[in-house]
This record gives sequence, C-alpha cells and structure tokens, in this order.
Amino acid sequence: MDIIIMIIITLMFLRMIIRGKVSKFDFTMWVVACILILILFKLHATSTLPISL
Amino acid sequence: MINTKQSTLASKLGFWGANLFLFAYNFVLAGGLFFQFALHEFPCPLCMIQRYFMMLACFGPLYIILATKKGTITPQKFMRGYGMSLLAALLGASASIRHVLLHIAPNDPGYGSAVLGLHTYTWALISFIVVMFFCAFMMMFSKELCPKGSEYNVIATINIWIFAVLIVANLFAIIAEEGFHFLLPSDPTKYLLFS
Repeated sequence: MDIIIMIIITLMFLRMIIRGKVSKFDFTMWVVACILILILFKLHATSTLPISL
Repeated sequence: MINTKQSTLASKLGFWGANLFLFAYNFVLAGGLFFQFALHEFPCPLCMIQRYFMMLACFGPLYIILATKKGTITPQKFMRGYGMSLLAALLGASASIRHVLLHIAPNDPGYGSAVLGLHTYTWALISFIVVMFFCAFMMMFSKELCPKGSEYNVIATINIWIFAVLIVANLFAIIAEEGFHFLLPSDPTKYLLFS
C-alpha cells in the first residue's frame, strides 16, 4: 500500500512540475493520497500506547 | 489571467517564504534518505507515513511557486496552497505524536538514532508544528505576501527539481523496502524486494 501511495504522490508532483501548472486532477490526487495515508495509519495503529492516565 | 505586477518587498518575502518551505522539507527528506542508506536505519511504517505527509505539505509552496512562474498567482491561490499544507502538517503531526507516545515510557530506547538528543520522529513533530505556524502567518497576511508574478528565478527551478528527485528516490526506496508485500513490517530489518 505504501508503494501505491508513493506512486500517486510521485505522479502528482511530476505531473505538476513537468506541466508547470496545477489542475483540479492534481488536487484530487492530493486528496486521494491523503485518504490512503490515513487508511494506512489506521491499519498500522494496532498496538496500544504504553501510557495510562 | 496573467498577473505580473511590480513586486514589492512583501511579495518577494512571500515568494522566498514558499521556496524556504520547500527547501526545508527537501533537506528533511534528504536527511531521511541519509539515515536510511548511509546509516542503514530502515524507516518504520510510521516514519514513512510522516514522510508522506511532509511531501503532501510541500504541495502548497510548490503550487504557489508554479503559479508565480505562470503569472497566475492570486491571494486566493496563495491561501489555498498554504491551507493544504496546514492540513497535511496537522495530519502528519498526529502520526508524529503517536510515534513519540509509543516510545515515551521510561527506559525506552526509542526508534533509530537521535539527532541533538531528539529522535527523528520528535524532530518531525517539531517541523509539522513550525509548518502550522508558518502557514497560519502566511495566510493571515496573504494579501501583502502574495507574489505578484515577477519574482520567479532559477533558484526556484533548482529547488523544484531537487524536490522531484527526492520524490523519485523515495519511490524507489519504498519499492525496495516493501517488495511485493501489502504492508511494511512494524520493525523492518531488510529490503524485502531483494530477500
């Protein structure tokens, strides 16, 4: 899943830099990448924290 | 609409502020690659998540720099860019805070080496907090700090392409580390692509 996220981020930024402009598609890819990273965070956050109140 | 009004000191500061933001995270991302390949410390899943949010935070200044180059920058675009950076920094800080709390118990050695006494995830949290304050300041004074369109120069081009190289390097690095697995292991010790 990390590879999928990095591919999206790489394509998004290379598309912006090579074209020299930012389109709605780039904003959409940013949002998609954000959501996938949050899902990945949730998938990895399986252990409880070693602290208690 | 092309907008190339005469730049002011404030608009130059705004443009160089965006470049400084991008350069700072170029430095941090390069540092992450240094830890990985020179010091052979494999980034854990949370480390990678923080890297992703740093990259997403760079969307804002990159958007502003590219719009300045085209001459289409407006205060609205300026605020939109920094708004996106602010959101990415907020989400990245949540990952950093979890990482700090996972190793906060007494006698916990932490994950990886320390730099000036703090681990890299603590430095990541500090960087996200700095970004949040920076974005807030830039957004508050967007009307004055928004570039006019004539500030673009070769240093910005170099800055942008260094960022592009670091993104591609991180792509190859994660492909090597994750291999054909869906998720990274919690405590990576080797490049799964080659094992």
